[in-house]
This record gives sequence, C-alpha cells and structure tokens, in this order.
Amino acid sequence: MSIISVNHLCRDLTRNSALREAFLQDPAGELAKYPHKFTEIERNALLAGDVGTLYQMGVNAYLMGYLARYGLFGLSGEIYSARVRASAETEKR
Amino acid sequence: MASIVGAIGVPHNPNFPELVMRQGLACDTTRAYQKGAAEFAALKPDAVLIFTTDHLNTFFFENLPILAIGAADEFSGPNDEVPQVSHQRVPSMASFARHLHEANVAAGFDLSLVQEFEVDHSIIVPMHFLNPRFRVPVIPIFISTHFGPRPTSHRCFALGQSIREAVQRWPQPLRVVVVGSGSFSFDVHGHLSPPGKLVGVPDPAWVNRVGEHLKRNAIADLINEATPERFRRAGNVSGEILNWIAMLGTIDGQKLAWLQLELEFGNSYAVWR
Repeated sequence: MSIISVNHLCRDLTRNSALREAFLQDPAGELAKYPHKFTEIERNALLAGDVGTLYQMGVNAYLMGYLARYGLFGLSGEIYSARVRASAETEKR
Repeated sequence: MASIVGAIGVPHNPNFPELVMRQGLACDTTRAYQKGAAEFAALKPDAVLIFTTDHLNTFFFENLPILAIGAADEFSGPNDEVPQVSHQRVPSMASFARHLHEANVAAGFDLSLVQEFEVDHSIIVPMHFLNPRFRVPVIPIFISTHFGPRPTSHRCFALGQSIREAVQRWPQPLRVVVVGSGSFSFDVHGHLSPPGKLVGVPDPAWVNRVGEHLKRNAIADLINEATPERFRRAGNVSGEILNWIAMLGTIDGQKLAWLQLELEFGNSYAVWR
C-alpha cells in the first residue's frame, strides 16, 4: 500500500470508461473492490474529493486532474483547482 | 555512413490535432505545424529520432526509466486520448536502435532497452503533423522530465552529442532528422495553473528567454538556466525542454532556420538545417 495505488486508480479511470461509470455510481463500493489497496487516509481523501491532501501526499497531478475532468468524487475543474492551489499555499507556510 | 541532416523542435499538446482540424488555417498552430512539415519533407529523412517524455502511459511508477530507447521494427499509439487521431502502427528500425543503444551504453549513457511498447501523444502528435501517414521510421528516445529526479540539462545535452556520434558510426547511408518534443512552460492539473483552470502557462518570460537563447545560439546559457528551480516555477511539464536540449546536442553544424514562439501554450517551433 502506498500512494502508487492512487496513481494506478487515476490512470485506470482515464483509460476505462466502464470503470469511470462505476465509480460515478458507487465510489465507496468500487474503491472497496479495486485490486490495489489504499490506506485509510487515501480512501477518505478520495471519497471526499480532497485532492489537496492527495497532492501533498505526492499523487501525480497529471493523472489526478482527470478525476476533475470526469467529475469523479464530486470534483469539477473549479473545485479541483481551488483545492490544489490551497494545498500548495498551505505547504508554503 | 548515417548523418544528422536537421533538427526540429515542436510541442505535443494532445488537443492540437482536434484544434487544427477545427480551426484550419485560421489557427497559428496549424500554420506552424504546416511549416514544420514542409521543412521535414525538404530534409528527405530516412529515419527520425525523437527525444520525448512519456506521460506515464508507456512506463509507470513501478518501472520508470530515466533514459530509455525503443528498439522494435514497429510500435503503436497513441495509448492515451488524442482527439481526432486513431490508434495506429508506426514503423521503426530495430537494428539501428540497437546500435544506438549499444554505442551509448558503451559511452556511459545507460539507456533502458524497450522492445515491445506503445507510445502516447508525445510522439504521435508531432509525427501526425510532421511525418504524414508515419511514412518515415521513428525511433523514440525517452527522457523522464516531468518530476524529479530528472537528468540534468548538461547530461541531456551530452546524451544528444553521444547519440550524434553513434549515428555517424552507423555504416549505412541514412539521413536522420532529430525531433525534440515538448513545451517550455506549462502546468497540467497543478497548483501553478490559473485559478479555476486545469492547465496554464505560469512562466511566459521563460519561454521568451529560451527563444532569445535559441536565436543567439547561446546553448550554454540555456543549459545553465534549465534547472530544477526553473522547472518548479515554469510548470510541472516544463522539464520537457530537456528533450529540446538533447536534440540540440545532436546538431552537427546546422543553423537555426526558423523559430516561432507560441506563448499562449508556452511552446515553440524551430528548425535547424
């Protein structure tokens, strides 16, 4: 278990439209079934759309942004942008 | 003996094929790629070497080479989403690539060898525009430029020089064009993109500065300034300029013939011949 699981998930969601649809319908259930395992922090952050925390943990931004492009975990482009930017500001302090 | 007859630097934005199809000649991007394609054709290449950055599509975090070369008689792509471009086969030259691999490892550049692979938009988009119908065989050289630890700019330039020497030791008379693929300042899904946006150009001044260095042929200055600190300010894919710097290392007496900046996207187009 490591942040690589989240990176795997983000890439799989960009490539697999059926998986995307399933995650849009039932994110918690699909996370539980996903073959790569997550830590509690990772799972909670994903379900909350807390990309700021995931960004700080080192999830690759190029991959993670597709969550917003596809409207997954309650994200939109504007919400994603605000959370990632706020996360970077927090890190600077 | 093989020789490098020219070098072309271009961006590889995956949305450009759709943009060009939609806007046609009204679009600066269309005209820039058309110019690049005309230059490419005039060089009459037998083979293309392209320095590029995989976007976690060919490689992934469980196996992520810093430097790699593709050695196969064909590969395919794109293996990611490129609107208006279908997945297709691209001819390559395994024997020539294996020679480049062996020569460069012997010279101290430990390129990973990749023999069965697909590629993403970072190769398919430049070739879609420059190399219509993928007629000329393409050999990819992958440089990991999107996140640290990246190879240094000095190392990438030296790699280009080593590639040039290896090309010149290939006994068959090949005309080789080298392509550098990527942007100078661009942020994708990171905190440097503008508020509310998923992408942006955080450091247009750097794009202009790179352009000035290229115009003056001040390559040493460019190499010295292309640092990790600069990449932190210029966006999370700005390290792609390392592909251009490796390309510059291959240049064998050619002069800059054309340079066009595209500040809107943090890009540039250029030809040396």
